[in-house]
Formats: sequence, structure tokens, C-alpha cells
Amino acid sequence: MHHVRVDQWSRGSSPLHTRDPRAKILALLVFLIVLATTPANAAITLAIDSALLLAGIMIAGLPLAGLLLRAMVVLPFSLTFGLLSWLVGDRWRAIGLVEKSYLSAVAVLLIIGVTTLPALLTGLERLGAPRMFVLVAQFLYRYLFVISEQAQHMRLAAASRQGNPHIHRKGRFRAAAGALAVLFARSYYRAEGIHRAMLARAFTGRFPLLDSQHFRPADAVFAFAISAFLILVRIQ
Amino acid sequence: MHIPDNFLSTPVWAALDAVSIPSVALLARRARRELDESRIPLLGVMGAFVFAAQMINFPVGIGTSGHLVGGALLACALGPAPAALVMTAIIAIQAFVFQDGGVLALGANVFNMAIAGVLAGYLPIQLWGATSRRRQAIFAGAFLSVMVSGSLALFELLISGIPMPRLAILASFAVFGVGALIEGAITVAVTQGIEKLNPGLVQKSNARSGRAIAALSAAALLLGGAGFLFASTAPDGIEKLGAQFGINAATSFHAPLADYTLGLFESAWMRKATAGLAGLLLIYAVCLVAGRWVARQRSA
Amino acid sequence: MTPIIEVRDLHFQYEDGTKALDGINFTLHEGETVALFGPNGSGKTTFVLHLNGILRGPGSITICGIPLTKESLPEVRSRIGIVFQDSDEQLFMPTVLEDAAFGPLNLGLSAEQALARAKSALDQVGLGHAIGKAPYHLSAGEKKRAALAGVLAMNPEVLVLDEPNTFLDPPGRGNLIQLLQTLPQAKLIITHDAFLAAALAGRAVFFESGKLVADGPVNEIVQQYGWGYPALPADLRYSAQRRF
Repeated sequence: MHHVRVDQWSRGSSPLHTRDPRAKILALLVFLIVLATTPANAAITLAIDSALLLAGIMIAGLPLAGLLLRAMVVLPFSLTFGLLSWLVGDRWRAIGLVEKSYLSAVAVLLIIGVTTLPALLTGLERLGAPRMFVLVAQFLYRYLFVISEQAQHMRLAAASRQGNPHIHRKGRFRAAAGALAVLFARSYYRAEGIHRAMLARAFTGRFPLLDSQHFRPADAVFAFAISAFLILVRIQ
Repeated sequence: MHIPDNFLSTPVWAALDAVSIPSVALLARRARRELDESRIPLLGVMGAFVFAAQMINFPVGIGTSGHLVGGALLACALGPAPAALVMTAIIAIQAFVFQDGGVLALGANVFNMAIAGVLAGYLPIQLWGATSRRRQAIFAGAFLSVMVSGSLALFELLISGIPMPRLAILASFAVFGVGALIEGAITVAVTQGIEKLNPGLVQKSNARSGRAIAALSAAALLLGGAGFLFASTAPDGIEKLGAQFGINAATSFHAPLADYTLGLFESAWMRKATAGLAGLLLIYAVCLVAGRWVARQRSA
Repeated sequence: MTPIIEVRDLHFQYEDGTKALDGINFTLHEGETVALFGPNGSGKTTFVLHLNGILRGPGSITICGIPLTKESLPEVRSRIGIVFQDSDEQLFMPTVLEDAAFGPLNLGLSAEQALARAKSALDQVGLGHAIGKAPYHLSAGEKKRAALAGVLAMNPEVLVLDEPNTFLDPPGRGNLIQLLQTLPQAKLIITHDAFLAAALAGRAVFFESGKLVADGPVNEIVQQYGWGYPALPADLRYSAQRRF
């Protein structure tokens, strides 16, 4: 599954991996904003931006082909609208849509490929994101793997029982709904189990903080350098 | 329905980011008041459930299948504010981990699906969820949540100057319509399944929500409706709207990006970008200060 | 010597009226390990959930000399550590280290102290090399050990384990038994596994329909109720009424 692979990537140890998540988030935002405001025919700027991404992928030790392939998930959307734009004569918009949305996807993949999602979320919290949101997202991610596997098993079990492809559509619909209902109930009871485990370890009603992220000079240098570089390239 | 980056024009995505950020903060605060931190595992696990549920295919026609989006189902199970928060988390993780939807476009996607979609979907359930017409209420809620999210997304794309001939717009609405019907059917079927397993797991209607939520839900519906109307009169309606806001959608419809390349000399871009960035930073700072002030008031 | 766990006349009823616990009397002494046998649904887990106040029923419960009340809950929960059957429900933090530090942080320790406790607990269970790992990257045996570390990090005086060898393969079970044998705390272990019980416990109690019906040496209880295997069907007291 996609998130399993990306999660594996994020647990490396390159110089990019060890940067503070806040620096990486800032660099990503600057990159995306600069890219969004770059016209589609500013070929040199876009080329340099692409080169920067490639350099990042190399330094991080991420699989180039794998990453570039995964970023293509945005292509169906952008190619469709690109085609529409091309057909009404707005050629630059078409090109811009396709190349810039692809580059954005690569940039996001690069950052998530060098930052575990929980670390990214904690970084967002340090930058001011609401605690409740961050904690919910953290728990979601933690149990995403477990519950998606359960859903996979249910799909397999259902498929194995579907020897007859002419089973009435309504019956299969009901079966899928029933499977979801069971998955819902199991998820609900799982949440209760988690709550009991929290209580057993003296949970006070408020999640304890563990501040393990330190913004070092290297992080500041990284964030500043990338941002300055991107802005300078954009202005030229 | 997840809009990637570089589809929306800068004023649009920036404005929606500026709207969504404080909204999510408000939702988080409201969810914390309603549920306190011990329910966080439940919210997270329910989010993971919706994610996983989106993998399960529901056969709906000759060779076609649909899947659950989940906004209305979450609203039934958790109440509207927590549901909106969970949807926000889902959308954020979809953007970062799955590149489904952009990062700058998070404000837009969150507004469309987590805020407007969930609120609009909850209104029928709040009004009729405890009556004998519960099934129809749930169906209507799920249907509306998808239609509102889709209409708003379409509206935002159009107002950003994405060219869409009339046929494409109608086709999009048809696709949303089908998706909305599927969502209704799945949501009803699943909630009924859950109630059969354990009636206590799904709420009848959240009495505590009250008038504020109802008002917000109605507003969300109106917004969605407005988006739908504007989009369906495109490109004419969009041009008129564009003229009013100076976005100049008309020229972007048919001409190449002449305005962009001619007008954006270095200083102009810097001015625009700085203005946009300054605006965002201002909103960010205001939120931080306001949040801290509220927190201090609470603890005092 | 004050018993570590003292339960007197504990009752508990579910909302629909079914009696889950019907007058339980139980004592656990310092350094003792007791096995808790009984058919599924006989009230074993329900009983254990009362020991740290997650469930509350009429009766008296005293942990390490502290009577269990609403006010004494935090203190009690720092003395008695429960390892639940499903490790995935216990390991809810993003990394093993953060999870092990959850308990100590709740007890009010500083971040450094909590991390130190967490690290030493993880070393104790043999997971010192895996502190940065995410829970879903662990095997079933490693998850069980990580869950145990999360409890050990609170320095409890008594450990309760609910069917600890669920999902473990025979080598995993062997490792778990060896690990548990090194822990000095008094232990109460819910298990269906007579082998594990014999290896760890001196005494066993038998639950049946919410009542504690027997209390004695492990081998005696196992024999009396046919809880070991292989067993000849004729000797199984439950074979006739037993439903799968």
C-alpha cells in the first residue's frame, strides 16, 4: 500500500531526514508558493526548481523512479483539464497546469519522504496548528495501517465467497454495507480498548507533551537558504 | 473532488486558506469542549475507519462501483464539529501522504469537504434524524454533503479561470449527482447495519448542537447552492463575477496567459506576493494571539 | 504482611442486568504469581478491569494497602499495571519510546525522567534497539514486549496480564515466559495456557459464571477442571455441557 512505502522512505537517516520538521514545512511552503506564482513559460525558473527537487531526492536517498511514478497520481486530473485548456486555446495554462501540479506533487512527496508523518504533525503543532487536530491526525495515522489491513481482509473474504459473478447486485451492495458496519463496530470497540489502556496508565484527561524536536542552527540555515534561493531564482 | 495545487488562482486558494485556518481552530476548540481529549482515540480511529472504508467497492451499475466519502456518516456517529475535525485530518493526510489534493489547496479542500460538506450534510439529520423519516434524512444529508462539496469545488475552479465548456460543467454535475446518490445509499445502508449491531453507536441527533450549528449548516447549504447556480450559468455568470472582483476571468478563458507574463515584472510579482504573504501572516498572527487570549480567559 | 491485592465481595452487573461478577473474594500476596483460569465470558477480564478502577462495582478493593476510591485512582494506577490482550490497543503513540514514556509523563515526571524510565523499561524487555520504531513495524512478540515496557516504565508493584500469549508462536511464548520470570513484581495472569501457568504461577484460581469457585495449586486446578491437554474426554468435567 502506498502509505506503507512512503512511511518506509521517511525513516531514513540522510541530512534531509534529520532536519527539523518545521524547517522542512517552511521550505515546502515557500517552494509551493513560489511555484504557484511562477508563470508557465518561465522555463528557466521551472527548470531550476525541478533541479532543486532532484537534488533533494538524491541527497535524501529516495528511489527516484519510484517517487516520480508516485507523483503521477495527480496527472489524470491535470491532463484532463490541461486538454480542455488546450482545446479552448489557452495553451500556456494547459502546460502550466500539467507541469506545475506535477512538480508540486513531487515536492510534497519529497518532504513526506524525509519526514515521518507524526514528526510532521508535531512540527505543525509547534507552528500553531490546533492540538486537537494534530492529536486526531496522529491517532488516525497510527491506526490507518491496522484498519486498512482489516478492510483488505474483508475484501478478500468477500471476493473468495463471490464464486458466482451473477450474484444479485443488491445482495453484494448489502454485503459491502454489512462489512462496513462490522468494520465500524470493531473500530469503535478498538477505540474503547485504547481508552482503557490509556486509563490504566494513569491518563489524566490531557495528553502529555514530549518535546523532542529541537530547532538547530542547521535547520535555520537550511530553511533560509532554500527560501532565499527560490525567491532569487524567481525574481531573475 | 480533491483539488490539486496549481489549479486555483492565487487569490482563491489564499482566501480559502485564510478562511479555513481559523475555522479549523474553532472546530478544534468546539470539539475539545464537546468531547475532551479522552475521545481523541475515537476520533482518530473513526478517521482511519473512513479511510479504510473508502477502499471497499459498492457495486452500483453495469461494471461501475462507488465508494464512501464519509462526511455524513461521521456526522451521524460523532456530531458535526468532531466530524468536521476528523474530515480535516483525513484531507490533510490525503494531501501529504497520498498527494490527493494539494497542500496550498488544503484550505479549499477542507472548506469544501470538511466544513461546508459536513455542515450541509448534517442539517437534514439534525432536523429529521430523530423522526420516523430518519432513513430519508440520512440519505438527504449524505446526498447534500457530496453535492455541496462538489459544487463549491467546481465554482472555485471556474472562478480561477479554468476553462470548462458548458458540456464539461454539466458532465461534472452529473458525476457529482451520481456520486451523491451513491453516498446516500451507502450511508443509509451502513448506518442501518450499525444500528442492527448496536443501536447505541450512532446518535439519533445531537441535541447539544442547537441553533448555531443549524445556522451554519443552512449557510453551508446556501453557499453550496450559490456555487451550483453560478457554475451552472458559466461561463457567463463567472465572467460577470470575475468582472466585479477584477479577476478578469474572461480573458483567461480564451487568451493565453498574456496578463501574467506582461504584467508580472519582478517588482510587481514581489508586490503581489508580499501582499499575499503579508495577508496570510497577518491572519496567522491574529489567530495565534486570539487563541492565546481565549486560553488565558479560560484559565483565569 | 499486607496483601498486594485484596478484593472483598465484589459484584458487577452490566446495563442489561446480567451479573458479571457475583461476590468475588480474592487475595494476592507480595511476590506471588497467580493464574486466573475460566471459560470465556466467566468474568475474568471484567474482574481485572475493576482492579484499577476502569469498572466500578460494589465491594471493596485494596491495592498495596490503598483502598480504591475515585480520589486514590491515580495512586492506584501507578501501583498496578495491566497488560491487555490486544497490544495494538496499548501501543497508541507514534513510536515505541513515546509510548513507553506515556505512563511516566502522566505520573508527573519531567520529560527527561520519563524518557529515562522509558528507555530502561525497553532495555529490560529487550527492545533497546527499537526505540524509534513505529508500533506497526513490530512483530506480535515485540508488540507484547513493548506493551509490557509501557507498564514497567511506571514502576508498578503488581502486574496483571490478560492472556499474554495470544498471537504468540511457541518460541514467542517461550521468550515471554523467560522474560516474565525475570520480573520481581507480584503477578496475576489470565490465561488458558496450562503450560504457561505452570511455568510462572504457584497458585491458580478458577472463575465460573462470575464466581470464583476454586483456589489452589496450579496443577490441582488444571487437573480438576481439565484445563490442560492432552486430556482424555472421559475425564473432562466440561465435555458434555461444553459448547465451542
